[in-house]
Amino acid sequence: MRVWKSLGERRGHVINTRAEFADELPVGASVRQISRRDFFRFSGVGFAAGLALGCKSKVVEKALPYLNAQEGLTPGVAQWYATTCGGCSAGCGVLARSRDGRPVKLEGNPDHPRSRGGLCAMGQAQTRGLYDSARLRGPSIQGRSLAWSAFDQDLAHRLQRIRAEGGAVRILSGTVLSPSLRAAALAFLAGFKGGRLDVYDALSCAAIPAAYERTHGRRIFPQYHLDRASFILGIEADFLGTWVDPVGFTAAYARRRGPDNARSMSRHVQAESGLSLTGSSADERLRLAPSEVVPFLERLVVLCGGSGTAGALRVGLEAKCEATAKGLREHRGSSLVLCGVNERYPQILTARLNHLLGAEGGPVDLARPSLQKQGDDRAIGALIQEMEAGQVAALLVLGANPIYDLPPAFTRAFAKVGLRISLAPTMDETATACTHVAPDHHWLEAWRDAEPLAGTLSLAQPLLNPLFGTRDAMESLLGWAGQGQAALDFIRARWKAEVFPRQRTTAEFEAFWSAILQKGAVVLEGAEPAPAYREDPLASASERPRPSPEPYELLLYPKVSQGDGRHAFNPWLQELPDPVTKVTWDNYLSLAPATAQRLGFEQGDQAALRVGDHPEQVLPVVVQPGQDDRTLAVALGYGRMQGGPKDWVKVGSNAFSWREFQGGFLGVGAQALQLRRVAGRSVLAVTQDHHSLEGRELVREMSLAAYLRDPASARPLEQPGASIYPAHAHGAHRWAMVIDLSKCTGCSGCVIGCQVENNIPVVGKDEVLRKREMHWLRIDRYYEGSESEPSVFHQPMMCQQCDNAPCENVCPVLATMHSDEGLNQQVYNRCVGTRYCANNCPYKVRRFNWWEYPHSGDIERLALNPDVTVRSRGVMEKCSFCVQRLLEAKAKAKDEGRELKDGEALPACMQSCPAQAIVFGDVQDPGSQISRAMRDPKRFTVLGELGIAPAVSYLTRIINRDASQSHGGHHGA
Amino acid sequence: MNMRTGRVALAGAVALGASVMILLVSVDTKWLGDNSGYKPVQPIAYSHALHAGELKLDCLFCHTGAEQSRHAGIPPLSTCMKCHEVILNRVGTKPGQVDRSPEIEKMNQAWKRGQSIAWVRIHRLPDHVKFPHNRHVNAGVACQTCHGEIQGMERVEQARTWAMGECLACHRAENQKLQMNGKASAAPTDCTACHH
Repeated sequence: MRVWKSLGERRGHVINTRAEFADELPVGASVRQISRRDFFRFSGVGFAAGLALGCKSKVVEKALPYLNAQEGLTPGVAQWYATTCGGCSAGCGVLARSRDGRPVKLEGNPDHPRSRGGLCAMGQAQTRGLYDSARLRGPSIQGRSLAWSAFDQDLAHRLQRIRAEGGAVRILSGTVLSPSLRAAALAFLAGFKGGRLDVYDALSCAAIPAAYERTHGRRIFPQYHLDRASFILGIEADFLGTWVDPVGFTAAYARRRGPDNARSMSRHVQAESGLSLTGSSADERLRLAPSEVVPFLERLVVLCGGSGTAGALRVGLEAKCEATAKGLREHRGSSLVLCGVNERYPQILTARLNHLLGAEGGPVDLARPSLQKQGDDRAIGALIQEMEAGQVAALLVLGANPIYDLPPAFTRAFAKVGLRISLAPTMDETATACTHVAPDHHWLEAWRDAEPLAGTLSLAQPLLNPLFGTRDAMESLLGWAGQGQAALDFIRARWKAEVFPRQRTTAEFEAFWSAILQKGAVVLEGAEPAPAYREDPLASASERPRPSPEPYELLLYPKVSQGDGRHAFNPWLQELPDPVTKVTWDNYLSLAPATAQRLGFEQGDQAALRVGDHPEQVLPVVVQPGQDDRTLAVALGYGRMQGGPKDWVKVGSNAFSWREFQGGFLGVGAQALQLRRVAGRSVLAVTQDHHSLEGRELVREMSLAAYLRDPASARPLEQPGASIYPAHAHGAHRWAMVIDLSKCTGCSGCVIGCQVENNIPVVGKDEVLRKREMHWLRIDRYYEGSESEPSVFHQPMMCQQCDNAPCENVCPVLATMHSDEGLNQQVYNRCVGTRYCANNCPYKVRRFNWWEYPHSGDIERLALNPDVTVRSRGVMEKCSFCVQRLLEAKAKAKDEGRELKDGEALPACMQSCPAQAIVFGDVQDPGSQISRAMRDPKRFTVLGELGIAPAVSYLTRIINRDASQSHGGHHGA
Repeated sequence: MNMRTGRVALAGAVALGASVMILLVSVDTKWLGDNSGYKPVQPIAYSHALHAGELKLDCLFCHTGAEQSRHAGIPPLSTCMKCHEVILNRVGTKPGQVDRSPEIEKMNQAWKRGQSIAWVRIHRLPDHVKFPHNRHVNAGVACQTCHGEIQGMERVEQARTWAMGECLACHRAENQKLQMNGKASAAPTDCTACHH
């Protein structure tokens, strides 16, 4: 199997990126010559400095203990609190690790029924959003800061006037996951005649409930159970990466990936125009243009026995459509279709298809719907019209940034609203345009509850006192409604009245409340009756869009690292390489290789794109294998300018501004596209070409059928030859890791988890261009096959903790040594920065501190993990298997006088992997999970043939190919 | 002379001068980084000799973190006030007499103001060293092993150099002792046990 990392490599081009070691040492020193006389002059400076240094008095450091002993808090001992992530609207359960009163790490909560211990990159990066010096310090009116009491007084006065005049008051909000916050908002609105809460999602899925309104008679967003599906068809839905609930979906999906699970391996077909993270994990990908989704779905409906007419599809797609329909039919009752297009007609077809396939009650759950996307685009369209007509007296914006992410019509209409109130925690685009700004707490500072799925409720509790003079939005709303009370009291009262009576496990409310606080979530018994299918297909057919005549079509998609752009100022997320393109710090225009060739574009060229009547925007070009030829793709969530640090340089372009309401729903629709070339080149900070691995076989795959026929047919592990070094003796433990490539989706949660846990610095775009990114754990992405339809592989790559480590025997100062637990230790205080080790590492996983990387600002520094040394300039560093976590677990076991239990010591990457693709443990314990994984016939090591005996190994990716197509055999050779 | 060697020579010149001077200064006193004997004046003249020596208060009574945390911890003022709410006199004052201690008074004032005492920190390891008190205390290592005869100190001083050699000497001796008794080593000598 020949794999490749980039088109340049495949086509044999020389890749001109800057060399990591191109700059002369010492970096940044001025160049000058020195004479003998100068030599003595400078020696004299040295004498003086040495004298001063040698004689200087000790720097006096103060130690301030607490005034009062804090109950349950011992300085230096971590505390864990169960809470609910507020990073997006998925509502995953998290455990927050607090050290000395400040949260430093967020991890998935294994007790949460949906996310099951997983957490995505965005969720893991939330602490950086908490410790953000760009957050607002207090309320302001027309840009003038004032005290909360004065603010409330001013606002009450204005609201009173509106009330007296009978003016309309609206709250415009993102999905409100917290039922209590919703109640507070409604309580506020109740004081006004016809007050209304309008909800929208920047990454809108509003067409789905609108479709169910037609097919099932109720606005409902179904809950999808991927673990109940044996055949999954995803259509333009990046459900493993960015769509609705990626962590929950990944957790359920991964339980049926690979051949060794309790239930049979699912087959996943993805039909899409861009190459998404989800598409890269699919067993089979179908390329289609956005306008082909509707005919494709219509054809599927007909092939699956539904009524209606369908035209022929283009050659190639027709056969694949028929094969897919056959698969869907064969798995009737356990097949599932997911569609991510925000248009009503394809969503109606999807709902009909799921009904025809008997998915309702199985993978499609209508009795316990999802509440993670509550947006109603049509209501927002109506709101904009009202605002434009001057009918809205006051608009309050909560948990949304509409100036940034709604069509430009909103901005124009917004100016016509007299009283504009923002509850944003930063001075974002919308807050800047508001008259009143009442900043909300960060979610880690506030009490909240969440109901992401009907009947699944969780609590969010504050981890620290508010850092700044902000106020909980819930308390603000209640206060303005004249029902001022603490958020905690309000939530407790509501839970006592509404949640507690719906459960039967606990008799006392106090016990129930503490149990949920400790565990994080509760699933209530009983569900609403599911609505029945009662569609009139003829009526639906009237909504069929006219086919698009355009030669090119635009796809706007969110990225794993940025989502809707609300975390745009989080440098961890900006520097996270896109899982597929591996580009950092930018968005860009993606073109298929054939299209780029036809239009004369190369990677890094500049293209100016005009969409409809919107202003033209210049974007760098990325040539993306696997993309549909007609599709131009641009990521959303970039180009934010307001609400970040003062010296922030704009990153990327805002593609939200191209969207319009298309048939009532947010989308780019069939606006005319004009693409032209602009002189000059852009530099894209791509990490995929860094650290070339010289075409060796690094990933392996085989088909499910071949594996099931003979599990032992997976290629055996290389047996390295004899070593000239004596074998290492191992002590009480010997750590090893196995990563299952069938489960790994490339979501990159582990990359950020590692970064947060290990105080890994952000280096910035310019340094990434010099190949100096610092991530200890990266995810290598490989393509195999043709440029137009490649298979994609993701391979997490970190220090492989070799037993015969090539880095160890070249270090002149013994700064990298083997521990008796099999770890390849890096000793920062010994390292003198020769970089011989990095040079000799075949995996290129060692990272050098080229600079004293600023962990900038007193507030930002609070995010550092006190258990890990912050490395200084000139020092080499790399993955340590999270040795601080291993030590903590071992110390706990020793303090309790017992042996370490399997699964107790886990590195950060493994802990939060939503797919549970990583297994780690002590191979000296024969019953451990890792020992079982080590015996797996699918296991292989990367570059094991070099005889370096890595402690990290991988499981061959199993691909569930269509049995009727004669792929057969495995691609081991 | 080319530019590169020029720069190296410049750096070398400064380094040479500095190292000669540091050496000269150090010969008379101690190596850089050795803080043994550091005995600063504290804002309150708290006596370990009195509390730990004479009154035999257990170290853990105040340094409550030592068994659970990597930090032994300096007690919060509220711990001091457990006793000093009522004990206000100088040591040795006869019952019935009043002889207020000015040091205790300082503490009472701070307590009333709601202010913590800013002690001068004596014991400090570099940032790249992680010393877990809990592991050592729970393994039965006496506080005095590292902190010296603290129960006799009127004013606390750093008793030892705390160079890495001292740590390792103890760990190795401990392992030898265990092995002679047929047990596995328990005091790690791996780099990452302390440096991570």
